[in-house]
Amino acid sequence: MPILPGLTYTLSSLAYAAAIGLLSMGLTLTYLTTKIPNFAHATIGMIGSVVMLILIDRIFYDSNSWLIFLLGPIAGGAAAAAFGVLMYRAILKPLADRGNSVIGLMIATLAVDIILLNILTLILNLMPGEHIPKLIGANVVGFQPKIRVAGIVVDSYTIVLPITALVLTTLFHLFLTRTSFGVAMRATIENPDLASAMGVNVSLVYTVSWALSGFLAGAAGALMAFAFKGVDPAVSALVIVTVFAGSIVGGLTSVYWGLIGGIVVGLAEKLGTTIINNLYRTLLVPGLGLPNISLVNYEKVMSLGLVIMVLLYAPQGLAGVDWGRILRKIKSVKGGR
Amino acid sequence: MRVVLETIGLVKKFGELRALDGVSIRIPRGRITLLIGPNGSGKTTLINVISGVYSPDEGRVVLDGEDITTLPPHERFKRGLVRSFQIPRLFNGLAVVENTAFARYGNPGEGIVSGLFKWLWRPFEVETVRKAFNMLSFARIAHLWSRKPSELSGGQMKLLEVARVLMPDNPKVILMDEPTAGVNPVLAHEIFKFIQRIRDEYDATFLIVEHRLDIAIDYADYAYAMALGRIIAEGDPRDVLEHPRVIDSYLGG
Ligand SMILES: Nc1ncnc2c1ncn2[C@@H]1O[C@H](COP(=O)(O)OP(=O)(O)OP(=O)(O)O)[C@@H](O)[C@H]1O
Ligand SMILES: [Mg+2]
Repeated sequence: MPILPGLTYTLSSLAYAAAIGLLSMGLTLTYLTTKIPNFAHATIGMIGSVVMLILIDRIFYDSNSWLIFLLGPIAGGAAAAAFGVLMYRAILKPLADRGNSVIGLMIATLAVDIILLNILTLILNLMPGEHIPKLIGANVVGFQPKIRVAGIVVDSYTIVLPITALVLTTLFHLFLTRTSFGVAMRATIENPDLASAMGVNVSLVYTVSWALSGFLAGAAGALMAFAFKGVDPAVSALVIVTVFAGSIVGGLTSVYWGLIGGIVVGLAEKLGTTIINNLYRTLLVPGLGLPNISLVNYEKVMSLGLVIMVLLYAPQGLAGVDWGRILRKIKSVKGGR
Repeated sequence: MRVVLETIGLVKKFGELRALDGVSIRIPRGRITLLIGPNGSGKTTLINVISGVYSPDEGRVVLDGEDITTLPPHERFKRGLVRSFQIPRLFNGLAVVENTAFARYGNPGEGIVSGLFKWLWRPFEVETVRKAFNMLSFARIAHLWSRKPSELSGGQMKLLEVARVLMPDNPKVILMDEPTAGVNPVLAHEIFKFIQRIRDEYDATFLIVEHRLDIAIDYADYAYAMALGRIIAEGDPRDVLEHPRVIDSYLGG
């Protein structure tokens, strides 16, 4: 058994990590602006998955067109953004204005999560598919365009997801640094009272942050329909754990580190678990006579293990690590040899 | 004399304490009005209520004929009410020049959609940065333009606040909470000279809280004195300073 996973698995791991990165970035954003840990975030992403599934059923069922990768994330992102705005304006903001604590708001997001999950499941169960007989859980892998990498046919979403993450992050960065609304958002994150005194409509900034966060989640969710081979909104319960792990590992102080944290945790869950499993089975099982069981199902141990390590050794997350010092140390060690 | 800013019977309570106890003032347009009074007399609280940080328990704030008592701070800013802070408040994530320019961003960048296309107003941006540098060089901190506020001394932060509050175009009223605290006397005089110049050039209106009366007195047109949340005297700055009640309030502590 080779230790390193093959090309197909590596690509799908990268795609999964990119999706988690986008979700962690959005989760970090609304946490930075409104200070609300949003436990409905992964289910909001599932709105994108549901939209993607419906698009496949109604439009893309036999076309194998690349357009699906443009239309799916945009439509899914827009729907999730709309829900994010609704959730903030109709539920969270009124609660916050009445002086509810972070805990109260967090529980409200849990309630929204359960309601949204049921609505999405209901939609998929009740809505008759036009070309896919039973929407919920239907395998959608075959509905993507074919592509070859190094002579092997791979799922094209695995190429598209990392590119999408790169494009969305770049656009988001340009928004934050090149537009006055983006500068106002950065200012508001740092000091809402001062931003308000300088003419920034803080409440508008907060609402837009929920829209952006929802869009990132919905866009990622649309493409994740392929990663999970089909759409069952209930997987959000597993995804949210990873997304929070990513945000915490990132440090919850910067959206970019949220993205990196999500990618790190996503890779650890997929590639990390597989490599450890392969090492265990090729070295430890025969060597020490340990039980011959598969470790690949212990993905969440990896992500939560990372969270514990970060909380113990780098409470500010990866963002708080003095990377310059570490680089200098590495250089000096190299130079010393 | 045209009144541009008026407060009517403002009351602000913090628990039992009446930090403002029926404050009515009328600020004339194009004048520099001083607000003096011993520590804890309610000067900063008055600025906070006028700028919208606190909403009053009673009373009203009227800007240019419009009742703004219930407007959020950013709406007051848009209507031309600008303020500085007693303890400097700056964006540490933004450089000195960005902190200064920020106060003029409000204009075309306020909408989300238009805000997304900031690069469409290149001329506006260039002018904003030029104006920011002008204000910074007046405040003698232009050479620090690329620094982060955390690298400045206390006095330099104060100067940055002054530069920033003078950035918006055609402000109706500029509220300044101790603009010269921690600044050396020579520079303090220059700050007030500059305030006078802005007043004359733009017919701008200032309400300035100041402890350093020896410096401020020569530049002010009018003065209000506060004690224990009330206005105890008003009029020509020198008369107010020599008013027995004002002297008593300072001696009484
Ligand atoms: N947020 C607050 N909560 C409770 N009490 C407050 C608050 N802000 C001000 N006070 C109290 O209100 C009174 C007036 O305070 P304020 O800051 O307005 O005084 P000031 O005239 O600006 O004084 P100084 O010259 O020291 O700046 C003080 O007794 C102060 O302790
Ligand atoms: Mg004060």
